[in-house]
Amino acid sequence: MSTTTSAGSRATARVPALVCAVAAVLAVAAVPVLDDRLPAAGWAPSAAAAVLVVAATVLLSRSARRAEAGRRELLAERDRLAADLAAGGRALQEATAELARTRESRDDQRVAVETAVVALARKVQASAHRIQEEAARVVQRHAADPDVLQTSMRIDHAAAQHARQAQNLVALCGRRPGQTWDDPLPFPDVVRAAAGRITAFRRVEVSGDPGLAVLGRAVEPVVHVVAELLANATQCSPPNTQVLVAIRQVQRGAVVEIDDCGVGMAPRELERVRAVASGARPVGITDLGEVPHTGLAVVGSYARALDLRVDLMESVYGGLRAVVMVPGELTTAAAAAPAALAPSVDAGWEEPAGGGARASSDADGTPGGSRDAAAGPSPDAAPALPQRRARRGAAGPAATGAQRTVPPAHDTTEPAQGRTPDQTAEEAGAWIGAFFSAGHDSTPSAVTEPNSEDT
Amino acid sequence: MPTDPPLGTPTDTYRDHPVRSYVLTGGRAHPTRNTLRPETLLCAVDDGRELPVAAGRHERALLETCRGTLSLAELAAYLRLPTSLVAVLASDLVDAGYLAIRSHAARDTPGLDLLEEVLDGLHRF
Repeated sequence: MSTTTSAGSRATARVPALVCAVAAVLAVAAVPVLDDRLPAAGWAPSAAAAVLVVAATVLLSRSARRAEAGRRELLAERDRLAADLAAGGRALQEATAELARTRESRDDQRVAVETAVVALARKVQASAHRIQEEAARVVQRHAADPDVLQTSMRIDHAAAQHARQAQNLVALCGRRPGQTWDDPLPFPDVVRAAAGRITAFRRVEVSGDPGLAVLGRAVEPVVHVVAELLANATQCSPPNTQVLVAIRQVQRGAVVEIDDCGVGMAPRELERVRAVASGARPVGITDLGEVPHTGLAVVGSYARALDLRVDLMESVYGGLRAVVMVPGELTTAAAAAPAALAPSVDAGWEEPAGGGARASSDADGTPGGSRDAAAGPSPDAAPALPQRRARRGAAGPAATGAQRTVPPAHDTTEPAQGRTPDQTAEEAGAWIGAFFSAGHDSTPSAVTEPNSEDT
Repeated sequence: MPTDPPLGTPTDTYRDHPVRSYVLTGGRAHPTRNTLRPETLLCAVDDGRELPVAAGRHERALLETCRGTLSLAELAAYLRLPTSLVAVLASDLVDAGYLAIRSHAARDTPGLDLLEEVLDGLHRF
């Protein structure tokens, strides 16, 4: 706009100036000619030329003034615009800084909220583990009472689900689980451990044992991932159907496949949950909506942290199939003899010196977090259970390198508390067997048929 | 009877395990046969039959430990599991024919003459 205006004014200023200049030139050129011809009237052309020159000068100066005014106007406008631009820039800068401040404070707030949530969730989880420990202790006290065991199992089951939900919160905040395990856990036991944390654990059916175990540091995350997938599978399928879990070894690790017999999922919804479960779309605790679907978000967070590959697809059984690939870096060969079978309370005997590496405590020192590290496949550690590798009679207690760490008989049969155990199950069993078959001619008949019951 | 530590104190005697006991028994706490007592003697049936592939490590460990004759309570102590839990597992194995209950009282009572000889010996002692 300003460009066209200035161009126009420049043009209008130029036309009269041009006319004046031409007139002046003509006048000056005409002077000598006329001078020769009409000496008498020599003043007339000169006067005309002078008038023309004056007129031209006046016109020129007027147009020049006009052009100058236009130029000033334009400069002022330019300055005004530049000032506007600078002000706009300052405002933009301020707004950006404000936005950064807001974002930073929001991040700070989120971190603070997450820290608080994690701290509370860990407390809840620790108390759940404490409940489990107390339940185990009660069973130990009333070791022969099935009713006590029944009640204890129910409490244990409820507390295990409780602990899982608390650990969900921890995982959604991107933190590592509070519970840790030292021993590798064979894959079938990983699935059993996971099943123990869901409501419908009876519907889980495990098949396949490739002889692989999950390394201790990955046990808790993998168990939790499988537990969440099992929870999904049992919730999304009719209560009278089984959830089938298959374990297989693959080139790059081990795979756990979980099939449910539900109705599956619409393709778009399936795409969405696949992105969440595989970790491709991170879902934090602040992204959960009013109806929080925490399970798959938890799976996704662990998948990202541990490089697990998780995928969901349609199952041949009609429902969904969840596949978890645990990479080879997190697996090891399963030990032949189990280090420990289930939670238990050591009461009534003393731990032998050097008897197994007992885990000191877990990472955050939660009270129920004292985990057992007894005696895996390592030959240095004394086995928690008698290692049954040598054949009967092949080695006595002195001949086997492993230290015997055998508890005495239970207190209901023998008040043997505090006695140093010195017998393996094999020796004890052989001894009693020999005792009963002594004095009998036919040794094989000492063993009764399987279904006979004593009265 | 061991005394429990007061609530809230961390303990060293508790050995936690990721696999919970109710998963091992499918939630059952009562054995299929009510004749299993802590002093009941058990013995693995050595007929060359292998446990089915689906059997867990727990069943295998129990059978391995029970190669000789052991009472239920001893078995539980070796496995470091509660007696009532081992009763459920052992009972299932007895049902499946992998484990035998040894009825010591009925068949293995020494003869009267042997008892009298022992008594005489004790008197002389």
